[in-house]
Amino acid sequence: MLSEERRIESAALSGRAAGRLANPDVRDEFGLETLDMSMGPQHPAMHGLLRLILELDGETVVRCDTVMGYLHRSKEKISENRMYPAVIPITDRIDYMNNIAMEYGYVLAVEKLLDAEIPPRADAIRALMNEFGRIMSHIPSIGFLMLELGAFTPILYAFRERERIQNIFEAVTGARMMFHYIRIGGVKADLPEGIPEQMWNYIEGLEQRLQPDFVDLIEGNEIFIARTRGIGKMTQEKAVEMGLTGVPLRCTGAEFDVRKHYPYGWYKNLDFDVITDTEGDVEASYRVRIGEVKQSIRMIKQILEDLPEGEVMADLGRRIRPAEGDGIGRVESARGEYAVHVVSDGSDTPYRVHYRTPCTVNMQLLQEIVPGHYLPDIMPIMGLIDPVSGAWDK
Amino acid sequence: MPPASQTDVGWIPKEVKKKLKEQKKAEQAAAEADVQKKRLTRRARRPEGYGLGWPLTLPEGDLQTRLKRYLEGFATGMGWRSPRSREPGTDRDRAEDLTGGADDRAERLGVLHLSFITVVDRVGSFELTYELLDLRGGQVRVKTKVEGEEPVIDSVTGIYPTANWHEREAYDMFGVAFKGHPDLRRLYMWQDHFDHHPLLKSFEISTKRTFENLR
Repeated sequence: MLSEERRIESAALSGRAAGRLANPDVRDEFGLETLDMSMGPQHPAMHGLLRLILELDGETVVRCDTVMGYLHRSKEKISENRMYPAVIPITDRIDYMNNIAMEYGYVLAVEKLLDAEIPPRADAIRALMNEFGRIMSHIPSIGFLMLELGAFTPILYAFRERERIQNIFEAVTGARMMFHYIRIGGVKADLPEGIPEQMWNYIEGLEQRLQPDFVDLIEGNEIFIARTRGIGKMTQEKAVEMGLTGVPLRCTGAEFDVRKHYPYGWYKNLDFDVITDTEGDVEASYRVRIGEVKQSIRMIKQILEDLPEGEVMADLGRRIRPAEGDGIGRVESARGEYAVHVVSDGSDTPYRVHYRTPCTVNMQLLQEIVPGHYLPDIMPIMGLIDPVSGAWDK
Repeated sequence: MPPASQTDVGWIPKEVKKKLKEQKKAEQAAAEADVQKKRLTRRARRPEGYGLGWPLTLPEGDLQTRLKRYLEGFATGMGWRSPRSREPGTDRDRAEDLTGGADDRAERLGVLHLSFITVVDRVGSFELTYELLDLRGGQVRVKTKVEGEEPVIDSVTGIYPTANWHEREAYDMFGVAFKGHPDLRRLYMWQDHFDHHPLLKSFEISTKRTFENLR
């Protein structure tokens, strides 16, 4: 039997648990108890290091409390103690699936502080690499979702695509994962000879492969539909209220994309659609991701067709020392709105750097929508949010 | 007499087979069109703009007028009232109480989305920056200063439920307490045995790198 003390104790644990207990009267009548279970931090199916304290009624989750911080590397503190250009490699390690967007946000913030003019070719290359980064992040996240549902094939196809994009990135930036490519004032180096053609060929191939290798394989599958349709369903009000951005917000039908509504860099010149879906469940998030990959392909083609000539680096001097003030850089990363707030006191190092990572904010969703679902449904819901350990812990 | 294979029950003349195939294809196409139509009508039935359930003033007018309206809202304190403060974690209806009525206030304010809260330690005082977006190109930045070693400020979770973890993070890193927060715990650091707030300027680390000490 669930005693009164027990209820108060659990309420003290979460602050909201008591209201969530499903039918406490029924439980009293039959003398049933709920089971507290800890999922993670080391769990084979978990996206990185995350601990969920679950209260289970049978196989139904009654309460879900998120405990994070297992990969906290205090990026904000380290950033305060490095010079402005030296912070870029640190931002690389925030969201390690989509590094380019992380660099981009920080660099935009510093450039706003410096009031710097960026050469158009650098802007175009940034947008180009950013879209490749989005594809590189979205396709594996579809693969991870399928892997968690028990399908092994899509992850192999997904990593084949990621590998090929990594080869292109290696040729351009010199690194396969931590690129350190976007610099304050431009990009590290121009695209090597032959790379635009290689990119074009790859994109053409991906466009053809997307349908047979991903959509046909996944979309009609009965198990996929059974495990994802109606799972993690949320309304638009809830999504806006929870401050969600990115795919979790767009799959409920709210049309918001930083690239469209707060345009930056080369995105002002590009023609693309914001993909939305009406359902707001895991299946809808998969559809939105596929649609966004197609839009990225479209954007990359536009950029490659009309790549401006010229320098790729503005001359800002060796010593970057912005005046007092604050600058905010906001980009659409693969997971949502990523913003960096840099506060300067006029010295070599930033006075304060704040990273608004979409994963941290989107993860609040877990404690709101997981209660009421079955235990195995947590993993598809994680696939809907698609968090990255490094990004939520900073 | 037709060959043996053609006398089987399953045998169908080629022309008929072709016809059946075409028929099936047409049926499939019709079904698909039907689904598409349903999808389209469903989309068409959605209200304009965000299509939110609650009565929401959608951002109207050009950027200047919108921003003016928001700033007026802040100047008059509209929506910036602290929610009822109670002891954290004791009242079961608490979360519902806080979110209930939040829509009204956000509606009057016209700003839908709290992007982030930045705390800056100005040694002796704390500067808080609230970045708000209307999701349609408008943005409002609210700055406020809190004095003292142990700062307390009203929570905005009543207006923006998403502020929950932003405020927890601020509390964790700076020790800024938010009055009226439903669940003020540390977000990253160890809850039980860690007494520091690591982003304070008084919390020193050994590797400060500047231009001068490069060599």
